This record gives sequence, C-alpha cells and structure tokens, in this order.
Amino acid sequence: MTTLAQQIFRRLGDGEFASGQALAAEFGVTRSAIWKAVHVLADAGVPVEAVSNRGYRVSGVAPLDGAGILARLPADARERITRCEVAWSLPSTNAALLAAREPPAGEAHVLLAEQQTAGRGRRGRQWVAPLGGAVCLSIAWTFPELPRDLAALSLVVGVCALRAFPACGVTGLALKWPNDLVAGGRKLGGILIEMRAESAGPVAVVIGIGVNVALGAQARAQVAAAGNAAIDVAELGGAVDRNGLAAGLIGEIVTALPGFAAQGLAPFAAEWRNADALRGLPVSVTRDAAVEIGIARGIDAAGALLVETPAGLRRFVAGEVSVRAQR
Amino acid sequence: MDIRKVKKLIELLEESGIAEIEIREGEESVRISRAHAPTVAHPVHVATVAASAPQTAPAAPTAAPAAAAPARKANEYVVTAPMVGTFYAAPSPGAKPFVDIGDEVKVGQVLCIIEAMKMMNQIESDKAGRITSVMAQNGEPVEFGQPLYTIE
Repeated sequence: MTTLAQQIFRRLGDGEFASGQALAAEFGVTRSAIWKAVHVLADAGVPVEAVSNRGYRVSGVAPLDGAGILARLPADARERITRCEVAWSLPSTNAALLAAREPPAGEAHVLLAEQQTAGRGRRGRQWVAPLGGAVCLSIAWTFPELPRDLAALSLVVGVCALRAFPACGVTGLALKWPNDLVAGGRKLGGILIEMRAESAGPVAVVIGIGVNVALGAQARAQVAAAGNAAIDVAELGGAVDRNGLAAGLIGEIVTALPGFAAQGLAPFAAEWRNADALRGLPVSVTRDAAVEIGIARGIDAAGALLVETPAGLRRFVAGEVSVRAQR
Repeated sequence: MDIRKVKKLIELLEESGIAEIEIREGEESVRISRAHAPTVAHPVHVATVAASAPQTAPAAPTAAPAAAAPARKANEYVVTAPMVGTFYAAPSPGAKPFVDIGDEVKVGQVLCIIEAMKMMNQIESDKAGRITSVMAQNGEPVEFGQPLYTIE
C-alpha cells in the first residue's frame, strides 16, 4: 500500500467528490498515478465511487482519527491513555503492542489500524478485515500485580464491548463464551487477549478487538469460504461510524480495568449471563484435537464454561465452542 | 495425575541429587522418594492420589495454587505455569512446537502458550540454556505452579 493511496483515502474520507485532475494537482502527481492509487484502495475493499465528470469519492468510510477518538472519551478514561496512535496498515495491532514496551501500571496505550494484513484469532486463526470496513484496535494495560481473577478479564472485556454498541444504534447482541460478539448466531466481533505473565510481578496484557462495521462483498466471501458466518454493524442498522464505535469500546474497557483488578468478574457476571448466547444449546468444545459435546449450562463464578456432558457437568477454561445442529 | 507426568518426575528425581519430591495439583498429590541405598530400586510412594478428582464440579474454585517444589540440580531450572489453563506447545494446531528437548533457548524466548478463556499467555523463558525436559502434554490442562520445562 503506497503513501499516495493512504493520502487519497484520507482526502476522500469527507464523502465529497474530487476529480482526478484536482487530486493530481493537489498531490503533485499524474492523473494516472491517482487512478492507480484509487484502484489499490478498491482492491483492498474500500468502496470508492468513480463518476464521470465528477471524480472519485468514498462514502461512509471516514478515516480513523486518533485525536477525535480521544476527544470523545469520558475524562477519566482519556486521562489514563498516554498514547493513542492510528496506523495505516499493520500485520496485527496486538502483535505490535506486544512487541512494544508495556505501559506503566495504570496507563493505557491504544493502537488502531485502518488495515490489518495478518489479523489474528485464537490458535493461529486469521481475522479478516477490509481496509476501512472494520474497527481493529488494541489496548495495552499493565496490572501492577496479578489480579486474583485474571482469566475472567476475557469475559469482562466482552461485557465492556457489548456496552459500547447501543450508542451506535445496535442492540440485541449476545456473547458467545468467552467473548465473541454475535447477532443471530453470526459473528460481529471478536476479542483476543494476549499477554506475557509471570508467576510474580506486574502483568502486561494486550486486549485486541475486531468489529465488522461494513465488510463489503470481498471480505464476506473470504469469511464465508473459511466456513464462518459474519454480520456487520451496517447490516444491523447501526451507525457506520468507526470513530464513534472505537471511542465507545476504548472508553468502556479503560474505565472498567481498574475495577476489574479490584473486584474481578462479580460486578460484570449478571450482564454476561443476560447476554449468554449458548445457554441451553447443544455445543461442542474443541481443544486442538480433542472434542467434547454436551449442553451449555452457563458460566461459573470464575467465568469457566459449564457443559453438561454424558459424563456429567464439565468445566472448560479453554477451547473453541460451536453450536451443534439440533436433531 | 497423568502417569507420564509421574514418570517424568521419577526421571527428574533420578537425575537430581535430592531425596524426595512432592507435587500437588488441585486435590491430587504425589510424593516420590528415593531409597538411600544406591543398590535398591527407587521405590515410589503415591500418597493421597484422590480418585481422579472431578474437575467438573460446578463452580469449583480455581485450583488452589500448587506448591510445587521443583526438584532441580544446581544448574537445572524449572519453568512453571503462571496460571491455570490449557497448555499449547505450538503456536497453532499442527505447527511445529515452540521448543523441543535439546533446543537452546534464550531469555525472553517463547516456550509455550497457556490459554484460559481465550486469553493467550505466552510463556517466555526467564533462563538461557538447553531444554532438558517437557513435562506437559499439548492440549492438556495445567495448574498454577505446575512444572512445564526444565532448562539446564
């Protein structure tokens, strides 16, 4: 992805038409260079319109704006964020923050990317996000000491993410254990938390969130080819406002982290249970090669998934859960 | 407790200079001691191995921190699990393990991943040296403090 494509993406983000000639003059390049850059964007999934005599425009995809996101946060969350960057294209925002120095305890570093080329899911799975069609962000946070309930952070972040959606006009979402955001059985967003924890001392975590905002045909086909069902904010009738959604997600999470360290899952458990997408359904739990089946029975106080199996009630702290077809 | 793990512990004990080792995992514990006379085969006492404790109890509290006193030679270092979860030796199913017996590792090198509730914890080596044993099975649950690797 060239810098020119990036500049044009930002330039066209206001939704107004700009002619190839005007853009060429503005950026000091030929019209053919503009044409090529527009094609680079279109190939990456950006909905660029080209209309003769009027020029190009990108509608509904405002570029991510770090300062604008910060300005929309509640003051107590904003004060904790000591770094907030928007990258153009990264392999993975989680990987970038994991490789960087962790923030001091009590501070958050936030990284967003317009495009992730190697977005990651659990156990090496791929996360597909078209340029401008998703929110991909990561938050780095350091707990001064091991929270008593660290693993439950996963569920707590799911609850926080859920809280951010009504403001964007999306309601009725559910959580698939531990923290997938789903609507009608299709995945709207995913969360992957990675960390480097040791037995003693501070715990540096990186919370990664990907939310489908307006996927476009190309990304949909890619997700479907992998055997997954995706849904996006646009299809749910929500506002296609990535900056607003990003601000909501960051605000909810950063505000909740200190409370989680002190109180664990308990203050969030009722909200999680109300949003449980699996309760009562036949499920299978896969851990690499091992598969177990049963009926999902909610979560325990530590956030582990309870499944009633032929061998009795089992408790899972890890694994990929899928809903089995009902006979 | 997995019989392979007990076997590993016996090997560990044999290699080391110590006389006895006790490992507790949740409700199970095993104590292995060596006879003082070097000509006698090493007897194994399995103490209070609770009948395959149901890990399935609803709302079971996260297993109590296990005080695993690792047996070690003077130059041997035991990497233990910092959290309860599922142990993965490789970054993704079917991939090559991060490390194997005989590999040289550096400080900060990723040895394995422990997953709990989709939180992926990269366990890094806090010691440079050679991996002399891998004591956890891929995809198996591990408890807090459980020995994972020995590094020499």
